[in-house]
Amino acid sequence: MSISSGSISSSPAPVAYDPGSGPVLEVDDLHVEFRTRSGVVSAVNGISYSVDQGETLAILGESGSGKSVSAQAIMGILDSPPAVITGGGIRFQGRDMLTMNAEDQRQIRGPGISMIFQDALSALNPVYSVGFQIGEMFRAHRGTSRKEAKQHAVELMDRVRIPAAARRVNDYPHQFSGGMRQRVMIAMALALDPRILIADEPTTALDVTVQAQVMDLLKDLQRDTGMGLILITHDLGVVNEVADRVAVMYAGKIVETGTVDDVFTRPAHPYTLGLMNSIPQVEAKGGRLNPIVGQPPNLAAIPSGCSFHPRCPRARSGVAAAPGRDCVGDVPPLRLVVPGREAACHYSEEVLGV
Amino acid sequence: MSDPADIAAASVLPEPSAGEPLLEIRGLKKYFPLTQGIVFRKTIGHVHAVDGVDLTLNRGETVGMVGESGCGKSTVAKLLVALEKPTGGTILYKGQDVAKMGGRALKQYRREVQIIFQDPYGSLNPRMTVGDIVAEGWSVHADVAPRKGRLQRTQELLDRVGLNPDYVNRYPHQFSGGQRQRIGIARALALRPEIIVCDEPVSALDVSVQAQVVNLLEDLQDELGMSYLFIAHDLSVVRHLSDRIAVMYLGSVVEEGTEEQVYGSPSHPYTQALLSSVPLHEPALRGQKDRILLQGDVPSPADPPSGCRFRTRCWKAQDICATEPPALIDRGQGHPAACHFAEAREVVPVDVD
Ligand SMILES: Nc1ncnc2c1ncn2[C@@H]1O[C@H](COP(=O)(O)OP(=O)(O)OP(=O)(O)O)[C@@H](O)[C@H]1O
Ligand SMILES: Nc1ncnc2c1ncn2[C@@H]1O[C@H](COP(=O)(O)OP(=O)(O)OP(=O)(O)O)[C@@H](O)[C@H]1O
Ligand code: SF4
Ligand SMILES: [Mg+2]
Ligand SMILES: [Mg+2]
Repeated sequence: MSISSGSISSSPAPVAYDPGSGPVLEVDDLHVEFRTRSGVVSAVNGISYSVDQGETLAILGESGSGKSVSAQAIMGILDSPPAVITGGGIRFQGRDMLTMNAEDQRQIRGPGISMIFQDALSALNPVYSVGFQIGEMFRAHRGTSRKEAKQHAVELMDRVRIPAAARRVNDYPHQFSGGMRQRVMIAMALALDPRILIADEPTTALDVTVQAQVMDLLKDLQRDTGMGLILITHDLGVVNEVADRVAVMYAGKIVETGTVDDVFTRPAHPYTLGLMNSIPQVEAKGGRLNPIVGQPPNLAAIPSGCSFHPRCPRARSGVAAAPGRDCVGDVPPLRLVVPGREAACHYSEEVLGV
Repeated sequence: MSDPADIAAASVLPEPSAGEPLLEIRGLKKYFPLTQGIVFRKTIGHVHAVDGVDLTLNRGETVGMVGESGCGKSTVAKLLVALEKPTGGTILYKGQDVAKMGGRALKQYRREVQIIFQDPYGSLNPRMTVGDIVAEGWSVHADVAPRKGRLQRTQELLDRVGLNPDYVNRYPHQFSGGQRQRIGIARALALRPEIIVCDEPVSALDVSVQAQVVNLLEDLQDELGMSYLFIAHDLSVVRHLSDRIAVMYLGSVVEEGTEEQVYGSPSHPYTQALLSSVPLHEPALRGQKDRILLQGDVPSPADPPSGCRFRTRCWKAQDICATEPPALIDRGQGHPAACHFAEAREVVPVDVD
């Protein structure tokens, strides 16, 4: 397709897609490990999820639980070595990307899936102006001329509300504040009208008014284009306001999934419950915060059984445990606990009080 | 912790007298040149990153700083720890003008005012061990820790921030985000600061690890009597930690008050918009709050509006707002706000429990 100036925001989805044909993206039992000199780090240990068109799936969870690494696996930008995908599949519009050659993968990902990163400064190249870097998306994928690409870059910068875009298009990343750099990243990700946008902490560096604008912008885009959104974030407020479903991760696994309403009002996994109890409130100064006790697991030596058991107030083992449900010895599978809700805890029914 | 008496003996800065703030910023300014051209760099203007900030910090107090992305919070932080030089204004520390400090006084200032950065990934040198990172400051401020006991002292510090002391020889990449922030805190503590400037120290962490770090900062303050300037976008965390809050917009403070004043009766329209945009995590409250949508774009700090800087996006703006910069004074709300038409308004739902 051709891009003429002014058409970016209204251009239809560039990738033909039949909405009746199932999820846009499916991740199936994905495993990723880092083979380092000091040992094997199991960063992603069999996660599965799918995203429909127009849907927003939020992935939240512990710092270091494999949220970014699994996103990088989908994007094909894992740092390998040391990272190795040791199992599983990633299907985009029904086609398994992991079995394709590199060029086919590039053809699919380029326009189909894009990503906004957590760390905008290191994701941008310090020696090129931001306008050049945004324009590069058009030049590389659509062969747009340099001049036209810059024109598009200014439009995109305007669209993500970077003030004085025409004047700042030639500025370098270090000349922008953290929040402004994040908007530059968003502009780049939106350039090709992706079918799936993975946003890894897209608003962490932004104030809440801009955060609200950015989330509105992403929502509008999603409505216009039917793009699926995978939102990785620690901000439970943002998840509550924009997501349809959530997946909660701990130690490289999904430990709970469900609708936002279900998971937030009645967690089925003790880790999720611990997260909810740690949140400070904006309505009051409040007393001492109530974090989950203990330290996150060492991924080079993940605890046996349920990987949360050393920190879990409900953990049971030995004679106290039900048969086959020993938190130290038996791995709890992610299972349907009540209709529409999955959790990986031997005692979810008790946590839920059902 | 080793005996602070030996340090006090070396102190060249007088202790602030009762009622005198530990730190006082007056009219602080930082302009960055905007240049064009590659061979002949021509200055075509200035980014008014910080443009007349007044702020005080008392001993043992936490002042929270919130505001628009790019409004100059990190620049204030860098000016405070002398990573940038002010274009104008003064920083008074223990009653002395930092710009006029020399030799030993300046060295003492640099030791006593430490910073923890936003980014737990970029702010630690990946080639240094954790022990070396924590001990780095002692190469300049050798008097803080006698050479002989340094390893033990480093291990004490790691233990104090909740890291295993046996990890001294590990590298930053072997730690999680929350652990890296603890390393940054240990590095700051190593110099026995009076003030720690915290520039978004918990933004990258999950809420449970965030709660651990927040509790740690509170414990350290209770124990050591330090003061914090705490910068963050998470208004709930800021409320939880702070005694007083300063709200910034485009280079200056637009509202200031106790945690209760600013959250309970925000009086500047920007503060109201900010607080109304806080996403709430309770599904039952979703969409219940009236969000104040700001019109228009954030003006460029290279070309700030005349009069009130917020007027281009303000629903209350009148003619006077374009001509008269509103002073940061109390107009009857019990705390100062820089708006000609300051008026308290309840935006945050009152305690839900
Ligand atoms: N190059 C590497 N070598 C070894 N381990 C690595 C490497 N990169 C990442 N890891 C490990 O993989 C795990 C998963 O990291 P990931 O970045 O996905 O976490 P995350 O869930 O995104 O955390 P956060 O919320 O802090 O961003 C981490 O424990 C991390 O230490
Ligand atoms: N070295 C520099 N040269 C030019 N402009 C700069 C420089 N450093 C910062 N600025 C500009 O100064 C303004 C203030 O930036 P600063 O980083 O202090 O904002 P901030 O409030 O910390 O923002 P954020 O919330 O996004 O971290 C921004 O417009 C930024 O682009
Ligand atoms: S399986 Fe056991 S240890 Fe794991 S979360 Fe459930 S109760 Fe806790
Ligand atoms: Mg991450
Ligand atoms: Mg900043």
